[in-house]
Amino acid sequence: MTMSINSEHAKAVQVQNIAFSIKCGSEQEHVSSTTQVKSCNWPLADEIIGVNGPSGAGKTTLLKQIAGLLDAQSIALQINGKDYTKAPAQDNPCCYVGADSPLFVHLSLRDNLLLTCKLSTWRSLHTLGIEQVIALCELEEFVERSASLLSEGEKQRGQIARALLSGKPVLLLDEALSAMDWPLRARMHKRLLKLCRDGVISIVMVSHSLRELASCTDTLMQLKQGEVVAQNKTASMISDMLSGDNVESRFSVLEISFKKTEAEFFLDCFVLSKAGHCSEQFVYIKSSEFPQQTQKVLIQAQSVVLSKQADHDSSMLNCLRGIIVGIDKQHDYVEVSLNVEHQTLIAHISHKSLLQMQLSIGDPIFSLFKAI
Amino acid sequence: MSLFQIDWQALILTLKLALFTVIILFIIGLPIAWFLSRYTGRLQSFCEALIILPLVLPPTVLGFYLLIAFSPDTWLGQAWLGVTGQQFVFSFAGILVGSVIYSLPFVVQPLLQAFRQQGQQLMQTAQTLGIGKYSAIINLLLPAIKPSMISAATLGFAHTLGEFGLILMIGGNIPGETQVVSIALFNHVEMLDYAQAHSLAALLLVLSMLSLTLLYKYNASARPRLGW
Repeated sequence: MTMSINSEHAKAVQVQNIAFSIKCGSEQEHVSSTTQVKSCNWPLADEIIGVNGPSGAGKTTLLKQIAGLLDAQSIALQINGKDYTKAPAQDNPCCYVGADSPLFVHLSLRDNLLLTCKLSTWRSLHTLGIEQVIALCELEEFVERSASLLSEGEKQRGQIARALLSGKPVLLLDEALSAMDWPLRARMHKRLLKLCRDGVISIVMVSHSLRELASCTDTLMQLKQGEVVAQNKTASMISDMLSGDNVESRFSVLEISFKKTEAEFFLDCFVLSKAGHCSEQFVYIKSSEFPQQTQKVLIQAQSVVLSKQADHDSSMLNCLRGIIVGIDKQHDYVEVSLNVEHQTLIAHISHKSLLQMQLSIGDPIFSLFKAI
Repeated sequence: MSLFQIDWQALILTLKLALFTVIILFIIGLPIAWFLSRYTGRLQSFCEALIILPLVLPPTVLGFYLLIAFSPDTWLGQAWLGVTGQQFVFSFAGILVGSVIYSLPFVVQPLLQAFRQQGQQLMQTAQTLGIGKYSAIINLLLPAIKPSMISAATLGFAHTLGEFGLILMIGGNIPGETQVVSIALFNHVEMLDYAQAHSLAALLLVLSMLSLTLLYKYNASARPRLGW
């Protein structure tokens, strides 16, 4: 599939920064002594901000407050340095996309998109075309259908397309991809990330899925009971969060820099890099539509094979040299953590393998995984 | 004047009354329903009860109070006389006001439910997409609740066709002015003219059945909203 996102004329008013302070504790303003104020600052330029937290932590409420959709605002909101605390939602540069902003079900999906283009007062700010957005969200097959007849995943793609066409420069995605299957989600991530990097839009993404957040966010924020408990770069947050209780499936995140495309094999070649410092170890992954200069790759712990010797005669393309920094014996498997060029790679192996290989902390080791 | 002529007059008067009632009810019912769908204050239950009241009240009770309130020796009756130059009781305007109140719940309730179901969410969605409030109401909200508007209009119309007690109380029985089909039917029965009564009764039956059948046939999505 070929697609062009012409970002040259798709110039937006770029939102550099969202700053807000939440009043916690008491909702009555005159009891100011018990009111805590928590201030936050989101650098938005070219980045996707992730928001994570347990159910009921106030993620949706926070996004709706930022979008100006809640009447009783217990939040002081500044976007690009301008105060939006009392601004009506249509003047707020953030567009909320989630379960509470469904498609207009009395219209076809195309009419949803056309009406948004026609009526939105932000529309002139960037000029993503309808056909461009339809291709971007893969809506071709069902765009003429009535919005009430679409599946959940189709509706979600429609909602994102509609938000992109509204012309607002910031999308607040509230579990907005949750009903899509993973290959589709990964394609959407790459395209949204590309729009971000090109300065067309900025994105804040709420998700339960650490895998989703790890693969496309740059900064991650954790909410608990309406409070921001942590905010940092995703790469440094995610390893902490993985060791907590909220692990859906074990994986590690490696930061890599683009080297070259090997088009004849449908592969992209990267090198491991951390904080701009490139190493000599190569990582091959399946070619993507838009290879980024620096990006992240998620590696399932179960798919990593450990070997004491460098491997040159198996089908595994990736063979990274590292040092064992942790061995954690679980009930029916062993979790081995490796330090590979100052990045953490996790492998799950059986107790039998651990015994046969006689692994211990500090041992040099090779980790193997497939390119696809 | 033959009986046949009087019946045509009654039918046309009935249709005219029903049509005017629906038009007036739409003009006042849409804002009332919109306001009620968003109002959550202390008087919410009271307001809703007030709107629903004509549904459970015997029409004669409503008619009686209107008759008392607008009798020519009250200030309300005087004011009406001053503005319209006509007495309220025993006039077409009188029965029109009566039937507007009487059919109010049939029009407001479906609209209220539609606004409650999708009003707020749809308006919020439109606003977060950068669409202004009035533009959203005209271009999105009203088209979205069209099925409910059609069912409100049909119910209001069909219900007005069947009015009897209220009109008899306020309007009396003046051919061409206040004598609607249901009252003409009553006259025929009183005079033991069953043949004529039959034709009028059948006409009302067919008219009401037809409007409801058309409503369900072409407005299937309004179906669940007819439940109270």
